Amino acid sequence: MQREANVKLKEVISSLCKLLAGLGVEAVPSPETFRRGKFNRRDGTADLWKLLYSLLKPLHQDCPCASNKANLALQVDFVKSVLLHYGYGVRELYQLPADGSEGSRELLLALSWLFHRINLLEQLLNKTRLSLGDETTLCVGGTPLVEGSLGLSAVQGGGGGGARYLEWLQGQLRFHWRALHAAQEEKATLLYKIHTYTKGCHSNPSISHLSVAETSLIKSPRQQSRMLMLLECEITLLESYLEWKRLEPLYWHWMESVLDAKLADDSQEVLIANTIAMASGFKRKDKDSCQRNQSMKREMDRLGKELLELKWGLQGEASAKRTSWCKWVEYKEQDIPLDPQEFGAIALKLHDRVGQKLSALRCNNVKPATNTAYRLLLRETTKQKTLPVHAGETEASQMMLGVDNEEQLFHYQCVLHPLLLRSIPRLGAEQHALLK
Amino acid sequence: MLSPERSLCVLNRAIERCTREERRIRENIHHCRQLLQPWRKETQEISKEDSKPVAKEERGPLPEERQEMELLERVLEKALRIRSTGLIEDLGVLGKESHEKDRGATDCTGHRDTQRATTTKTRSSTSVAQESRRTAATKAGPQRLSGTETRGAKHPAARSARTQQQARESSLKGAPVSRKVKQPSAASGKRQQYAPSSAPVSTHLDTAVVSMQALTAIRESVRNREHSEEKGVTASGEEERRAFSLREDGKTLQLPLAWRKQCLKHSRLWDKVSLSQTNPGVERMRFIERLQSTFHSELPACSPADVSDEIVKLRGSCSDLRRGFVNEQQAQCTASASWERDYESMLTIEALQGTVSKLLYQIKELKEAVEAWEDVFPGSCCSPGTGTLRGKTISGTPVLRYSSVQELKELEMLKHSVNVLQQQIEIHKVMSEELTPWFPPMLSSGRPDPALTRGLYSLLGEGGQQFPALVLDNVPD
Repeated sequence: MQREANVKLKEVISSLCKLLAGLGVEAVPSPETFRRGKFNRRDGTADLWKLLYSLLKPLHQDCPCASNKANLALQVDFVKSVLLHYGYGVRELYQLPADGSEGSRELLLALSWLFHRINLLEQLLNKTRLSLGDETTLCVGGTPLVEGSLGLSAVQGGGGGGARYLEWLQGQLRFHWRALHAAQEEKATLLYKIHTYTKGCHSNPSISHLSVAETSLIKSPRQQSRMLMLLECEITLLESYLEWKRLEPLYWHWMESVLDAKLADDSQEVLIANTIAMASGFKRKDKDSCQRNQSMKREMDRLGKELLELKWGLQGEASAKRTSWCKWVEYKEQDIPLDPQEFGAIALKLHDRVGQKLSALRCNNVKPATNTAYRLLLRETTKQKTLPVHAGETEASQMMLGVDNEEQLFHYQCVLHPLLLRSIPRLGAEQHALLK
Repeated sequence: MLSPERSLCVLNRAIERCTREERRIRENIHHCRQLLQPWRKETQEISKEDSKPVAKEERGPLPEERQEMELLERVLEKALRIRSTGLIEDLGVLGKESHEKDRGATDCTGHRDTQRATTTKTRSSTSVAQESRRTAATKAGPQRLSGTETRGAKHPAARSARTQQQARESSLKGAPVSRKVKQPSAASGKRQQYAPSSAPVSTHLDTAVVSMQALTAIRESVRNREHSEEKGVTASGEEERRAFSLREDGKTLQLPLAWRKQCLKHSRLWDKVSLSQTNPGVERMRFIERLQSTFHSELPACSPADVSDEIVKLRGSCSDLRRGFVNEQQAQCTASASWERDYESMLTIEALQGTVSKLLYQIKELKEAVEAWEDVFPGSCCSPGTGTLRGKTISGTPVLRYSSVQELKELEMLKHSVNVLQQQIEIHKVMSEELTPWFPPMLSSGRPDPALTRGLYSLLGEGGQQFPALVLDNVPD
């Protein structure tokens, strides 16, 4: 029975290792390392740290601290930071030493928690997905320009020339925007041409035309063999993922035993003082600690300020309306029904309308998942509607309405700072005075 | 004095991002254009280098080649005539004339040599041309020596010898160099590539005869190629010579069988994977709950990642409310003055107020959560990229159907304008934070710097977009 369980366990962990290797993870430890990790052996710990690092790094490319590959201490720091960000609350992990010599059991627990919390394996699978069609995203947000602390390395110019240089940069940016827009339009035209010329060629009738990738693989056999190879790799990967899914419940069962082992050990140890342990866990100084937290707090402050401004504006309006309403009621200027029931009915109807308005506002905020890639397909223009619109397909026109709303929204927001607005006439006057 | 560092940084970043995106799109455009040009379906036998010039060919070159052939014929006939009359005085004249023609002729033969080298049918003629080139080269050697010795034709002979010498040297690199030649211009005479096979400036009959042989071989090969292009069928059936145009023949394309099979298998597997994304199993949930019970007790339920997600939602809600407010104000202006309308707008404003208060409270709570995390676990926490798949599962790629090119263009335009506006807002915010301190001292002082004033005025006007920013003055910078 025990031997059977062992064999099963080996099978499970081997399938996990195979999946991880297929996903392109660099440092996949052997199944033996996993098994020894349960007993908190020290020898495989560095490997487990490296594994966590190579799993988390592809998903956090923008992070500034994910730069150094070779240094184990930096990798340890990175993994701890990411776990902290996602809310992993086990104190012992952050107390592990930075040289990566201890804590293989803690790392196993953290790894399994990440599998659940952020769907780590599924995210990686999605990231390496092969796209055969022509795709577009409706990512209208984009990463903000003002992210984190702005590096001062790109600073040039200054002094009286500072304003001129800013103007020049702004002009350059406007020019680049126009060039980008022209390029996008050109690409759209070319894509449309390819789609119309290859109508009816695809093996799948609902798709009906070829994409750019498919056309190029017909043209060039070298490209075809390359794409075939990629496709076959992905097929192998998907098969190993399905195998893992089949054996997954055994893995979680085993992780529970790991947790039991940890709790059994903990009850015998004396708990180390928190403060001393914390100091050894994190190497970073207070000055640049919680950089992200600082920027989050700044963002929240900014939002708070905006909301307060909005609140004051609303308050002003509300009080004005209330007084005028009271005046009307008092002077009975309009034919307001005095019968309370009648009035109540109308009031209720109006309340509903207001509720609907607000929910409509909120619905407009539900954007399509901004980073989902959509496959662009040209619709068949047949007289009879033989091809029904499949569930889950979106019409480009609907999407455009959503994007259009976004655009209007930003138009409203794009106003100059009030102080600057006030200064404009004065500046103009100054300029005029200078000429005299 | 003035150091708008953050603004400069933000602007530079925006420019960088824009150029990167443009470069990426231009690559795509280039790829698409290559597909739309006429191409030949390459077969497996053709090697990599051969396929490139073949793919670049278009239907155009034949009439030009005919012209070049005629030129070559004329030159060679002249050479034979000279040989037969035996007049060395004419050599000088011939040398000058043929020098220009030589270039053109040799260019076209060089070009044709390459073309011939890539076609399998005319391999025999290639060998003839190569032989002729070799013999011409060997003959060039003694000819050079003899050229320098002759009295009357020293100058042109030396020139011709030089051309022969150059030709010999360049023939070694002739093949790869001439491959780069796309459209040889017979009349321009600017190219420096010489193939000695058709150098007519020689007094040796053998060379001339060999060159005539080369010419007939060339003529034959071109004629053959024309035939084959007309028929559209090769004798050995190795290669489709007619150029393939996506516009005319696109509908005849078919995906290869092996590819189709694998694609089918691929999509079936992805469907299975999507189906396997069911709710987490019992064992998993049990483990996670037990693990989470071992977490530190004072931690808030909301992790920093959740906080950043909430901030994004709050940003959206904030802009929604602002939009609602503006809509309401606009509606108020246009609507008729009835007590119902007034009452409704009052209710709307009050409802908006309530939502704003709720959001403010939410912000306060989030801030407290972040601070609690900081207290328990001091130390930095990283920020992962936005828009990750947290909590979501895999599904198939959704489909977006469009019906005309106008729709695609409009979609791109809207996306672009939203991105641009968003970036502009950020730039405005940063600039207003940095530039505002400049104004009070400047406006209160008696004599502000005209360059600075001008600069700020233009910045505010965004180069004329917000309000006319034409500044006329005679104050130098």
